[in-house]
Amino acid sequence: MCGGMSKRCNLEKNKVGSLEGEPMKHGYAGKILYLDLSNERVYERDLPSNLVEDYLGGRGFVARLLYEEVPKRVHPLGPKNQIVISTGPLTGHFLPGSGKTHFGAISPATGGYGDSNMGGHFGPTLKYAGYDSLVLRGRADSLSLIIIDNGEVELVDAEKWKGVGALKTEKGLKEELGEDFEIITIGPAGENEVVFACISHDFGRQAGRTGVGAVMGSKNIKAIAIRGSGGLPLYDEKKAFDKGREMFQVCFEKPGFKAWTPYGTASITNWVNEVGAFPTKNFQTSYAPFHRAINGEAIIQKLLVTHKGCFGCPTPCGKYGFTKTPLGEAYVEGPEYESIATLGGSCLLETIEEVAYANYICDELGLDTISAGVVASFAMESYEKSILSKKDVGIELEFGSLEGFVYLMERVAKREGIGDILAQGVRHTARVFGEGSEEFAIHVKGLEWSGYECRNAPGMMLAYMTADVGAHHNRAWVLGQDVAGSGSSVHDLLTEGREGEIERSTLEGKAQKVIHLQHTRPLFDVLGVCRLQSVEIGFETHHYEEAFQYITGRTMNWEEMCHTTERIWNLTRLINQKHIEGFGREDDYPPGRFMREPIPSGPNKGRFLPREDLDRLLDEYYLLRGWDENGLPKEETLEKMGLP
Amino acid sequence: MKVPKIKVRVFLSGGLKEYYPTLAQEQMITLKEPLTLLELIERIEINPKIILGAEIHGKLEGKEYLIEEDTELLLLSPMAGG
Repeated sequence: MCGGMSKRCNLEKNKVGSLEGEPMKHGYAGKILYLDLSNERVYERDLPSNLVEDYLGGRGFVARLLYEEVPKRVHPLGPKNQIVISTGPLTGHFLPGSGKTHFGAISPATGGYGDSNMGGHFGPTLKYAGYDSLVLRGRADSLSLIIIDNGEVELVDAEKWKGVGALKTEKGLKEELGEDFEIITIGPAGENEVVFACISHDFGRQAGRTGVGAVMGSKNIKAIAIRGSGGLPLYDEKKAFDKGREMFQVCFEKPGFKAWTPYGTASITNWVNEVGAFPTKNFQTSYAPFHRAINGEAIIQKLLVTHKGCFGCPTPCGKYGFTKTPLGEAYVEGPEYESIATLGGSCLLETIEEVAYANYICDELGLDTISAGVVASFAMESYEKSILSKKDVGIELEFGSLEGFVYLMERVAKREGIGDILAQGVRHTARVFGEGSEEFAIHVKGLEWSGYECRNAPGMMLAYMTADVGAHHNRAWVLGQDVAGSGSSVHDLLTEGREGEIERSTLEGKAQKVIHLQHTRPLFDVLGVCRLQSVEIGFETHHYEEAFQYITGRTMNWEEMCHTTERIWNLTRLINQKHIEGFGREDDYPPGRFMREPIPSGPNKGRFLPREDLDRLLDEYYLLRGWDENGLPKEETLEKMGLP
Repeated sequence: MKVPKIKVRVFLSGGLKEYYPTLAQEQMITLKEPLTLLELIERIEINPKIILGAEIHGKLEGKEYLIEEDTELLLLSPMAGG
């Protein structure tokens, strides 16, 4: 099966019994696979029923297993950290968007809880191979490939893939192993432990955020290949199948299906500029005059080869295209909105071809496009402000330079020269550079900010501040609420004519909305399904409740499921408290630029959010969460959540 | 002389229903003259800034789209990408 590959060992499985109740029967594969890479041992554990009852799956399993099993203040890139790869109860079943996989580890970017979610086909295949979750521990003694073939596990030498790009590695492994293997890989950036290295899959899907690729690299694992052909037990086969068929039909008939699907996530580029929330020039401003050159229409007109969806996807948001620039040409999936914002907006790459090529470079090197864009634009601004010189960088570095971006990222991935500093993320880099650069290092908790500039959007700002992984948008996307709830401008709420006291009522409700979304959006990551069918075209939540019941035999309504995600939210806060020394309120503030620097141009010229406004938002947020004024869960809150 | 009227059926996408619950049900609006999508949005008192565009005849149209004939349209709100 391994073809020409050098097989190091067949790993013998040791069974560890379930310590916490009977194994689950329906919907789940029923087992967790642990790989102890240091000792080349494999353990199977029956999926404990109380883990399922209290955490459901996906992100819930990731958080609980990390909390229980990783020692306090672990070095994120040391052997005692672990990667948990988890599916949800709906992953791999016959219903729309059921191809999701969740990855988690203690993050090398933040030092605290880290996770990232990915589409594609890996999660369903993991379940068909017999496992709901896969846990990697320890460190292999040389670069290795893990092959899981329907429950048989092998560790194979992967030295020949050292330094090879993530896309090329996946292609090569597919050729060697066969198309029926689903593969995740890291690129050179992951091998070299760049803290914003991602895990790649399906030629353009990534678990991009929080440096999970660096953790995989620290374990000397270049790739994991899985083949699975088993089935999954269903509580009521007929009803589950009928429900799945109905859900696909409902999706196809949904108003909005036809309008949204052709452009995917890039459809919002124009709107984000209209409302002045587009990160531009390292978030100096919030409107890019060239945005129509890098929007969804530009992708269709200039790049698109074909639409591309994940497992069970009726609304393919992937836009597989071809780009040609003076630096080179490439096939690339995307760019999706976040890459447009951080590569196009923040680095000022003004054509869709350039943005797509930068996207391709990141994909091949194995870098998260969001963090890469923010790190590169931070370096460009540092150069502009003469904090960096040509001698420091090796070239002249300017905003808008594709050459400059590629030069930086190649050095980041190889940890060469300036790249060795940038590879540790924008927070660390600003500490090294000094000279006031921390003001414009755009991150929260060490994770670089994604595609929404928020000096005019207090709800969205609060969402970024309080996201458990750092500055990531998908825990609670509140920008629409900010805009809908405003008069002519969101910022009328806060800083327009701000002499004297701000009306308390203008801030009320923001924290509650953020909290509500922090429970509903991550629920999709718990269930193991894509959220886009729900949030983009209005797919109703009762469908998921019914599918969950027919698949697992368990009855839970959406609100009850949201109690689970509330428990997980408190648990991830505890994980941050456990691993980050002195963790608390100070970790929830955005960079100084957003609190002190008015936006210089565009629709929201003059806007900013002073710290006292953010304190009001945080006070209300903590109060509603049952956390103390330092942002830590109170004892009674933990008791209510059933947490230790 | 009889003034021709344009009948427009307006639906709101999921997110918009949440922002404007009183408009969550289908709206039937009669226009005495052609209006742009933007003018229609303002007439039904939705903040235009929250509208991404509208699905009209299965295609995403911007706020400058001129409504000249009987039309069914779905107002779309923006959602997070990536």
